[in-house]
Amino acid sequence: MAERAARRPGLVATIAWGIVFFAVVAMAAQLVIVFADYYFDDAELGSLMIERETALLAQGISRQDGRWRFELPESDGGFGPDSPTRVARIRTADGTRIFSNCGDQCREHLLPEEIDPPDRWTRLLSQGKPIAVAGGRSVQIDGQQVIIEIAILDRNEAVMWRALGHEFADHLAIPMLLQLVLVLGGSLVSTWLALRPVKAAARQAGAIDPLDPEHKIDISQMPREVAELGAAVNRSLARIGRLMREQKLFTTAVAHEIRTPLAMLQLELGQIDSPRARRMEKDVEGLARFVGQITALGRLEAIERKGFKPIDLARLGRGVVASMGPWVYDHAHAIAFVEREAGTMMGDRGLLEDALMNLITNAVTHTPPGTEIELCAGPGSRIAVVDKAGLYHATASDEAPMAKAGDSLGMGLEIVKRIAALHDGRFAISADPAIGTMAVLTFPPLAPRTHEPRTMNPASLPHSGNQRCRVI
Amino acid sequence: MRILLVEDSPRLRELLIETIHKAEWRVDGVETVADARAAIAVAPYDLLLVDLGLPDGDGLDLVRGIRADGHTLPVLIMTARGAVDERIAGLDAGADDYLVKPFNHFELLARCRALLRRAPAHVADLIELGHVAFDPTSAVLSCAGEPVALSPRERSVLAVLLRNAGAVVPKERIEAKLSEFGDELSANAIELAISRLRKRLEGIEAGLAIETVRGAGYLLRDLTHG
Repeated sequence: MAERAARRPGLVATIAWGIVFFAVVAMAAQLVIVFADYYFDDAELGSLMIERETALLAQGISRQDGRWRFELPESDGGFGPDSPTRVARIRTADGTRIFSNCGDQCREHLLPEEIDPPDRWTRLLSQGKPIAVAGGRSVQIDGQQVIIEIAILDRNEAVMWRALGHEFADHLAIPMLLQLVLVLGGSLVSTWLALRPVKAAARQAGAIDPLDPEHKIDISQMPREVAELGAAVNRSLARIGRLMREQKLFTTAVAHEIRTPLAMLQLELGQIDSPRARRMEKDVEGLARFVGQITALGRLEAIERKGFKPIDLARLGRGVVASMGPWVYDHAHAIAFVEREAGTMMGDRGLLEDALMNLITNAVTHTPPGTEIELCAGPGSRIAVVDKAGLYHATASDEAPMAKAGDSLGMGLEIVKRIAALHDGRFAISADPAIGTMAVLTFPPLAPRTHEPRTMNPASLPHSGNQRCRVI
Repeated sequence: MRILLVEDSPRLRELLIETIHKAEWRVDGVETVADARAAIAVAPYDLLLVDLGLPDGDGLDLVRGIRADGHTLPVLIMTARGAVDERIAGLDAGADDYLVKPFNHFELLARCRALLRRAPAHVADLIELGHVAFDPTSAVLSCAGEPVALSPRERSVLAVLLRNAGAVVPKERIEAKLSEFGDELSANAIELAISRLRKRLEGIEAGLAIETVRGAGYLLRDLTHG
């Protein structure tokens, strides 16, 4: 779940993409509007063309040693000598001619040289496109007024598009890009700053141990809106804590209320000398086991992980074998403890003992008399219960919970599975007709071990050399 | 043998008293912690059977109280609280054993007998189990009134096992007992002593079995009960 959430784009990225998308849409709309504004207004377009071309020609004008020089810019080659489509005349206010590529055409299309021209002028030479336009402008070069006059007569599409492109770039694209960068940057920084407390709250929420009812999110440094969310989470946690305490009380009460009458029943039956009473005693024992499992399941829901302590698996296993030994032998089975470089883990000793006792009880219940059961601690933080029922067990395995795995677990094994999960461990069962059944609990080690950690799948574990705790 | 039973359920108390009477032991039944304290103050008991959830307090408080007062009588807790951590809490409070309800009368009496055998007050008494009797003072084992010849090591091992019959005794504990002889133990000294003792017990039909719980220790079982 958390991995999937990590793969989803963050809020900052979503906002960035949103801003970029709408900026592109706005630019496209503005482009269309500006294009339409200019393209369908010939007078305006003509003015733009004159503005653009005279600016280019002005770049070629210079003055050295009191003499005017002109070099036709490369990008404005259309104004070459004797050009039939574009004419240009560049002169100073006192009548000095700097450049001209025309004779009669200048007289026909440009203003007479004797008059003082306005700073900017434009005149359409014909209606519609292609646009034929004449015009001029005054520029100051080296402190002197220079008058540039041109006429664009034909084959002027390139000039028109160049003028339009220049207009878009100068007055649309560049300002909008600048604006986009500023808006995007500002939005992202603001969003990142606003999200910092949310991120901190999410981190705190992610670190909450559901098994610790006293765990709370610290909302003292959070902005009001996020603090409200944190307070809501804290209220939920407090409720879970209450439920856990009530669950504990409930399981204790249930255990007491049911077990005491069962004890009376069993003692009463013990006074009756009859085979039917013996059968009923077995039924009462079954019922007592069931009550035990139900209360164990309830107790699991109320476990607090903060109470976990380092557990030496070898010591734990040896203790369980010693404690279960008399019961196992009373049921005509044998039991042994084997240690193979067992490690240490963090856990609840009582729960782990419950899990192992459940597995041993299962092994005894579902194997024939005389079967040897081994409790193997190690290697590492792994502990297993193996029965050596062999072929008998394989043929009867359909009815034996020890041979069942996955979703078909009985209640006892379900408890074991939950205890494993509570300790971030795994529970697996494998069966081999030649040996028997092996139930393996694998937990995360308390500290990193020097050797490679073993896989949790019992089938993939290496076989031990001495055949003790052999993986089935 | 006099036993004090502390149980708040009248019917269960009545049944337990009936069961204990059948074992030919005397028993006083009380309902509350206060009554139990009063009884212990005025009468010497060999064993205390106590329930945990009592009307005026917790049975664990009673156990802690009598231990604090210096009483060494064995205590068996009988309770519905069956979780391992609850059992540990009971034993930590000073109880000697823990019996989870429901239980049958065989189990109850076996636990009582085991506790009485281990009790310091009865060290000098005869330990009877199966078809044999063992006198810890003279270290003599007898079967049907006839003494059984045992080597000193066999006697020591048997004494440890008899005192802990029905429980797994770690090998280290037996080793510690044997090392009291002062001589160095060979690697298989314990196995050898156990093997010989096992043969002797089989030979006299003692009604006892010594099981080897590999990796954990040895278990002496009474084959004549249950």
